[in-house]
Order: sequence, then structure tokens, then C-alpha cells
Amino acid sequence: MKTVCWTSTVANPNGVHCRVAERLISVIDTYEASVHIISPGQSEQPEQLEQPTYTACTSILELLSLGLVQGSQVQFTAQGPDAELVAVAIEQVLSESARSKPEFY
Amino acid sequence: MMAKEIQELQGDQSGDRDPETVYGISGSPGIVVGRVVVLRPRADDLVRYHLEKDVLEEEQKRFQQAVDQAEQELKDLRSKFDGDLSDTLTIIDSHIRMLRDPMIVGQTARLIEQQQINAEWALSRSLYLIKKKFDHIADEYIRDRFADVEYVTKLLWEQLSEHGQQFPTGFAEPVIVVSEDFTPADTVRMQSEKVLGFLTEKGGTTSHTAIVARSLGLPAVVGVENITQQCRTGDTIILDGYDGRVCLAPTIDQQHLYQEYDRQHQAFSKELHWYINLSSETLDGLQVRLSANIEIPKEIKQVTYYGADGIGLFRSEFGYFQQRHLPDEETLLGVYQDLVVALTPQPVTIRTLDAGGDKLASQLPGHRFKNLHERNPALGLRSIRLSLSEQPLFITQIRALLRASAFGKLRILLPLISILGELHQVQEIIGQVMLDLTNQGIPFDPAVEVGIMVEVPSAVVMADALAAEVDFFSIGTNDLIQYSLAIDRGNEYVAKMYDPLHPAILRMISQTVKAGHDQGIEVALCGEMAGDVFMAPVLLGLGLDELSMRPSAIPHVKRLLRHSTSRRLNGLAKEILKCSDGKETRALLEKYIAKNYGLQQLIK
Repeated sequence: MKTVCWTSTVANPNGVHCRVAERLISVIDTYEASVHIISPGQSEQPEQLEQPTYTACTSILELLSLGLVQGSQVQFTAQGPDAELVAVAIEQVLSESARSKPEFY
Repeated sequence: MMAKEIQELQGDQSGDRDPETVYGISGSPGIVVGRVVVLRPRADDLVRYHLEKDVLEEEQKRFQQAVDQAEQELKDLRSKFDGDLSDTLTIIDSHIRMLRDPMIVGQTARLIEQQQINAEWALSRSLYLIKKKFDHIADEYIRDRFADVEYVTKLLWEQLSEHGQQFPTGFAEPVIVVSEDFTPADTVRMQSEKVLGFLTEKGGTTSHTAIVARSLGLPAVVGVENITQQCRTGDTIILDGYDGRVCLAPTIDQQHLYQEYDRQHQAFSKELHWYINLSSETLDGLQVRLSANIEIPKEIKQVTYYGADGIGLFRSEFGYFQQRHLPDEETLLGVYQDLVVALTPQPVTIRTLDAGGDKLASQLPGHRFKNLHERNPALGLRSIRLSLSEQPLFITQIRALLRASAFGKLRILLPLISILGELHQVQEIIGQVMLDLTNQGIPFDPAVEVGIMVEVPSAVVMADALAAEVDFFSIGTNDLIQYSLAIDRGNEYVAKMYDPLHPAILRMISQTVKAGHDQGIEVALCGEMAGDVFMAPVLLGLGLDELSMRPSAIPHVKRLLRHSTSRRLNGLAKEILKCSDGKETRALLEKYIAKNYGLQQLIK
């Protein structure tokens, strides 16, 4: 199984909000790969070794609650036959110079 | 076990006041042992209830259906924007995705399963957990996306409520429902076999919950402080509606004791049945009409079942608040005619619209009272005052009443008359309507009796003048007490001072009876106290011709009446009129009842 790890920088002006998260998940959906975001562990007891947490890029609420803003560094891993392709696609979504229109509905 | 022993046993208990026993006000008699469902009202009327294992699957299905339908709703919305390249589509897509997100769907389904709670509550727990997660987001813009989550959750709630919660679902056996208070809508939903009894924090003996419970024949205890905090859904409790107490963690012995207590009450109620077909008279032949107070036409069954001598008070507000528009003449005629025909030849007394006060005029459909803001509605535009200021509405009702009078013995009762002039205005309207009906060739009873409620102190004082102009009096003690003692019975701070046995009230009743009899008209009494066996002897002694009460109280009062002689009753009343406070009247009544019926235990 192919595994790809990389780090992206969020370029979207408003960070990963509803629309970007939705785009991300729907784009990932089209590839055969499982994608996770690795965040540094947040242990409550500092003496313990901090374990990183893996967030599956399938839950929009999990993605939103990471609170990724413009400029955030995001560490991804992708696993599966399309691992490389999905990495390129994700990079694309995160660098979309999202329309400057504010979200409005 | 004998009643006395039980009493002693209970006396022992109350001696050291079992901490597990809490006290409130008796709302409706009866004792039940059963499990509790605590309904916790929230801003959005969200309730929580416990589910039995065997209905969990059904609850999951209900939740899944709600998810499917909410998704369909969003997809329908999306199709309206189809082809539109704007961001709207992506946003709707993100909402659809949220709806299916494990943090909502998975979490809620898990909570239903693990905590055995209803979908609404599980969903609100899920939302809370998501909120906690979002609160940690540093970026304000993304943190505020929680609004989107709330939006999606709201869609789900709407779907869930459309599927109606079967209320109070989850228990195979009937339960005792506990709530801060019940709205009329709640109690309507609860008129099922699923309820054993009611327990509330708010209210007194005349609160809505108490009245409904009594009419359903279910025990109720009201006015128990903090009870929704003190018991939890699933707990077994004893609800003692006779004495207004609740046993929170009953031992098996206590359960048996209360069950025995209840059995004795039931045996007594069998005895009461004998009285249903006997006439309402004292041992020495004095007849007093014992009639029924009803609110909805359906109650006619109880009226005949309990052997009422007619209807002493039909509260005609029924029909005015249920629909989106006011009832028309034909609809009202239908209701009144059914009552009159069902009871003929016994009289049916129908009170004209008594809206306003606590029966909010602003809720009258399609009316200019929508924006009626009164600082003091009890002293405001209510009852006959409202009818006179809204004459088309009043005339419609008078027409229907007069037309129904052609089918039997109907009596028109005018509420809240406080000035002679009001009565004259009404008489003029009735005269005009009679003239119109005659001209139109529509039949009615030209000798129809018109009476007034005596429920304002000024009407008591002027009873002699009023009696000369009407066919009968009906004393409405609920309002008379409120207005004379200046007590709002719904106000928990002063409700204790609401005392029907206050000598002032009894003297007013006596005065009204005398004024009526001097003019040769009948005087009835139709307040709550008419159906209270403890108070009935003094009312009977005061010479009232008719007591009108909730139908189920009639056999109790009739039993008492048939054990009395008019001489003894009058003697009691004479004594009581000399009393200077409610305590004294109570003591005299207790002595009288113990001596004449030996029943102070059983007739509560």
C-alpha cells in the first residue's frame, strides 16, 4: 500500500471553513485513498510523551473543529492506490484563491 | 387493616417526617405506586424521557427517518439552485454532509442506545458535545460555523417533532408524569391510558393540572417545590393525591400500606355508586339540586353517569379558542342543542363567553384583542365586559342560545355582572334578538330563564336590586373569593390565604341567598367549593337551592345530603356565621362531620 506524507499551507483567506471543508471532502471522495490530518498531540499531563492525533478527512465537523486558518501548516498522510493523486488534488483545493465573497446564505 | 390503624401508622411516619416524603397540595384524589417520567421543559420545549430496551429500535428508526427527511429537504432546496455556480451549492452540500456526519448521526444513535433516551434529547446532547469541541477553535470565523451545525440540528428537530413524539413514549406500563407545570396542550396529549398520575412544582387545587386530573379521575399532587430535581425518570414513587404527598423511595412496606389505603378508598367509592340513582334530598325531605359543571360537550357522559340533576354551569369558552376563527351561530347552536336534548327535562345552564382575565382575550382568534395589553387583566376587559364591547360576537352567542332553548330547558347565565346597567344592556340585546328571531320565524323559548353570576363583591351588596330583575342567581365562589379576599389563587406566595371558608365569604353567600329568596328566585353555587364534601354541609345549611360541581363529586355530596337533616344543617350554618375567622369555621365543620358522619378520613 502506497503511503504519502506531506505538509501543506492553508492559503484560503478564511481558512478551512464550511465551503472549503466540503470541497476537500468531496474531492478526496473521488480518489481511492484514505486521508488523515496529523496534529501534534495535546496531552494534559506534560510529562507523558505526546501522541499525535489523526483526523480522518471524512467528517466535516472534525475538519472544522481543527480550526485551520490561513497560513496554518497541515500535515497530511494519504494511503491507497491514489495516494499521490489525492495529494495533488488537496494541494489544489487548499491553494484555491477562494473567492473573496463572504459566505452568505 | 382498619382505617384507624392506617391513620396511626401514617401518623407515626409524619411524626419524624421521613426525608423521602415530600409534601405538596392535593390536586386530585387517589393513590398510585408507579414509575416516574420527568419532563424537563426547555426553551424549545425539548423533553427528555427514558426508553425501555424494547422500544430503542423504534426510536432509532424514527431518528433515521428524520435524518432522511431532513436530507431530502436540503436536496430539494439544492435543486432550486441547480446550475447556479455560486457558492450556495457548496454550502448546501456542506450542510448535507454535516447532517450525515458521525458526530451528529453516529453520536446521537449511540446516545439513544447507551443512555436509553429519546432522539430529541440525544440530539441535543450531541449538539452540546460538538459545541464543546468548537469552543476550542481559536479562529472566530471558523468557530462561528457552529451556527451551521445548529441550523442542521434544527432541521432534524423539526422532522422529529413532525413525527410526533409518542407521549410519553418509552414505557410499556403507565407512568406518573412529573413536570414543572403542564400546559393545556400537554394534558390533552396525555389523555391516554399511559398516565397513572400527575406531579407538578407549580399550581394549587384549582390549577389547570388539578382540574384536568380530576376530570380524568387520575390522582395528582401539585405545588411540590423542586420535584423535577428530586426525582429522576425511572424512579418508583408513591403519589398520594388524597393528602398531597409523595413518597420518593418507598420501601415495600410503605407500598403495601398505601395500596391498602387506596383499596379502602376504592371500597368507599363502590358504596358511593349506590347514591347515583337516588334523589338528592335530606332525611327530612329537603331537595337540593346537585348539578354538574362542565367545560367540553364530551363530558355529558359523566354528567349522566354520576346522576347529576342537570348542568349548573357549562363554560361556553369551548369552541372559541380551538379554531383559527370564531365559531359561527350554527356551530354554537349544534353544541348547545346537543346538551339540552341530552339532558331534557333537566335544566342546562350555559354561561356566556367568559374570556379575558386568566382566559386570555388576546388568544381569541381573529380579533382586535391580539394586542390587548392589560396591566391587571383580572380587573380588566373580561367576561361580560368583553362581550358587551364586542357585540357582534355576543349577539351570535345569544342567538344560538335562544334557538337552542326551543329544544328543552336552557338557562342563560351572565358572568361577572358588577353593575345593574350591564344587566340592562344585556336584557336589551336579548330582547332585540328575540324580536329578530320572531320576525324570522325561528323558534325559541320566550320564557327562557336569564340569571347572573354573583361573583363580584358589588353584586353581593346589590343582590336585592339585581334579584328583582333576573330569574336566578349562581354564586361563582372562585372569583368571589379572589375579588373579596384580594388573593390570586395562582400566586404561590399568597395562595395559602385563598380560603373559601373565610367567614366573609360565607356571609356573602348567606346574604345572596337571602336576597334571592326574598325575591322568590333560586340561588345556586357553582365554584370549586360546591364539590368539596368538607365544605358542602355549610353550603347546604345556608339554604342554597343548587350546588353545581365537577360530575365525579356529585355522589359524595349526595351521600352527605342524604345523611343530613335540614334542621342540623341550618343549625351548623347559623353557628358558622358567627365565626370570626376561617380556623373557627374549619373547627366547627370538623366537629360536625365527625359527629354526623364519622368519616373525616374517607371524605377527603
